[in-house]
Amino acid sequence: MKSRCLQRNGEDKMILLLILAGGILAQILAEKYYQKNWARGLKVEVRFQEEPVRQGGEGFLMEIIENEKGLFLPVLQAGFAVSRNLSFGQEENTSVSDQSYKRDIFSVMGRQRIIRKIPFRTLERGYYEIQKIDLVTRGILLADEHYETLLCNTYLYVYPKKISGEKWETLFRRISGVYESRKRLLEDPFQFRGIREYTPEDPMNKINWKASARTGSLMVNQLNSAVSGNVCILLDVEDETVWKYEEIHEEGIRLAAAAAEYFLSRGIETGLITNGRDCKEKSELFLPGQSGRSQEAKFLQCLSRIDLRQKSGKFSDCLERKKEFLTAK
Amino acid sequence: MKEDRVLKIYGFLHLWLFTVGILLVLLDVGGLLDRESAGKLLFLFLPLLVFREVSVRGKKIWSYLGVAVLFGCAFWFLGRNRGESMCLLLGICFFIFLFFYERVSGNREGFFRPSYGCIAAFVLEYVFCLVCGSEKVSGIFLILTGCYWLLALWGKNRERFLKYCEDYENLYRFPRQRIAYGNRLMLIFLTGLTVGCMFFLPFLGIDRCVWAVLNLLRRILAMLLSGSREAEAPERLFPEDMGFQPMMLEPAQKASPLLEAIWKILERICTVAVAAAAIAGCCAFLYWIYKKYNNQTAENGDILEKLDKSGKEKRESLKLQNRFRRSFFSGWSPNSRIRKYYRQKICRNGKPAETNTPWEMEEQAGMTAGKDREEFHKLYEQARYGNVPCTQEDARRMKGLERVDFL
Repeated sequence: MKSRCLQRNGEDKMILLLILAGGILAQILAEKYYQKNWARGLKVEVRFQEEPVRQGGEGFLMEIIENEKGLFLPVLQAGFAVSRNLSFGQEENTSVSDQSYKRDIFSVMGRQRIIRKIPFRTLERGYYEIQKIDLVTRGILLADEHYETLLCNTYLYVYPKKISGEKWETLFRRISGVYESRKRLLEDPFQFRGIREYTPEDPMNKINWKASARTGSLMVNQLNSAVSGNVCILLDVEDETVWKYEEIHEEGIRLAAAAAEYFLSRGIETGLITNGRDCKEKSELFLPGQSGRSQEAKFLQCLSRIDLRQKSGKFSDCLERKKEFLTAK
Repeated sequence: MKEDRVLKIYGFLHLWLFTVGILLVLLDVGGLLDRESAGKLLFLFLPLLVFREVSVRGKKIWSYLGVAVLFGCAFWFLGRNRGESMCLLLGICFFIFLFFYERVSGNREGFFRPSYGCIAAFVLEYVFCLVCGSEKVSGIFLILTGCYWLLALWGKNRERFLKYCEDYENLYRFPRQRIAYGNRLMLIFLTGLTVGCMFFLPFLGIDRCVWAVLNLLRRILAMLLSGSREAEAPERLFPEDMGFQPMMLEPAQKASPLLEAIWKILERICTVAVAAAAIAGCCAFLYWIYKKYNNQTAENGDILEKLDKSGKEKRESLKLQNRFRRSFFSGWSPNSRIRKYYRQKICRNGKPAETNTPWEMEEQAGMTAGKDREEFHKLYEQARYGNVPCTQEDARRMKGLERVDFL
């Protein structure tokens, strides 16, 4: 009888324990499920605008968060580091030290995409990229933190600032070495000037047969000759002493950019030789001469990538290395 | 932390449940527990509210003492007898002491937060009731423990939510409202899961299983300690209960079958209607929170878009009957054996490329042309591509050829 009573008491106690175990089990199961599945189907992308920005101009950054699963995330913090030369303003969630560390908090519903546009101002010329995004979320009861790091590949070119004023145009015309010429040694077959009567010195291939048939006498085409310029901009960013003249070099880069834009807009082939080093490759930058719109973008990109913090070599050595290229032109 | 209204309600509920638990035990021990006395415990919520507010807002101690005397007298006279009055007064005294201590120590939230530690008190009260043999009160304590668990869960969640908001509220575009909705939705799901587990686990019969194992262990230990080789005869569980049958209605009390049937139908309809209404209410509430959370216009300038399910790629799977299936005995057929010998021979000099023809594979394996090789090749082609199945004799011949050196 006594043992039966004991057993009954024990079973009743067991019910209480089972109720408590149920509570604990539910919490553990929910936590485990959330911990395992929160990152599944979650895409986070940080993207700079596609167009490059000028120094001092304004650009924007897009944060895109896609949650493809049904499980919602009440709290999701996305953080990334970017150069502090991009200023996100006071109100944006950025702490600035060696870099700008930006973090944003989202609450993402299941099967939802959130797009956030963040404006910024470019303080300095350069090539800026974001390589990874750190994600932090809180557990089901906002207790534990779960982390995930995603790789990201977005970049932005900040071109040198435009120099204002028209006085530079004269200078560029003078330094380019292009002068008007009346010599017409070589004619351009695409530059049609006019038509005249045939003389015995004219070659047969110059006769315009249609015009000859119309007039009844032999007529020949007259062609203009064209002169194409070829410019190679030499940019020296070497510091001869310990003291760094960064502002002077920056001004030089701006001048080079302005000159390149001037020449390329006139269809003149423009190249670049500099002892400035690439911020990524750490090698000296060099751009062979070409014309066209793409060359302008390439030229400005090269100038954006010059890293003045790296020690540049002697400019004379640089010229020596590019001697063949220069003499060939 | 700024005082939160919801957290305050949780705090009141926590203190009330805790005090009511103690008083229930006292009333039960004194044999004074009935519906009326239990109902009077509900009134304890009023002094709890007033004491808290006076202790927080009141500047002088006299107001606090005045309220204490007032409620002490009121609850003393509320009791039907001395024992009940003593119990109610004890509850009031507990509140007076608690809030006084909080005020003096400066820790206003010390006892005002639901915590998992307090569940131990409910467990002890439950065990005490079991020992005393009052099953009714122990049942109440079971419910109280479950409720308190949920209260602790909600309280902790609210605390963490407020702490999180406090930490990050200064951030620009901080979606506080959306986080609150999401957190609420998550808490509802977790509460549902917890309640489900709390109901489900005791019905699984785990308790009986554990008890049986413990009983078995006890008997084994007893057997080992006593030194007897045979186990004692197992106890019969509840022999009286086995003969116990539910009471039947006496024939004189039997109601009209038609009325009984109508009553049963009505009872079922009402039960279903109440259950449906409760479920619909829960669903409506969940949907309301979901809609709020899923609102397409965010207040902080974010663009919210809904992703379609159709974006998911459809998975294609081959039907089982279309796949090539090798039966268990197929490896013993002459064809399979011939192919196996061929493979062994070819692979002896390294694995050939998958794109090679049999002839190329043989060349690669270094087999020189001859009569034996011709036969070897022919047997393989017959087994691999032929319409007529090979014989056991062919398989034996292939086995012999496999051992031949074709150099």
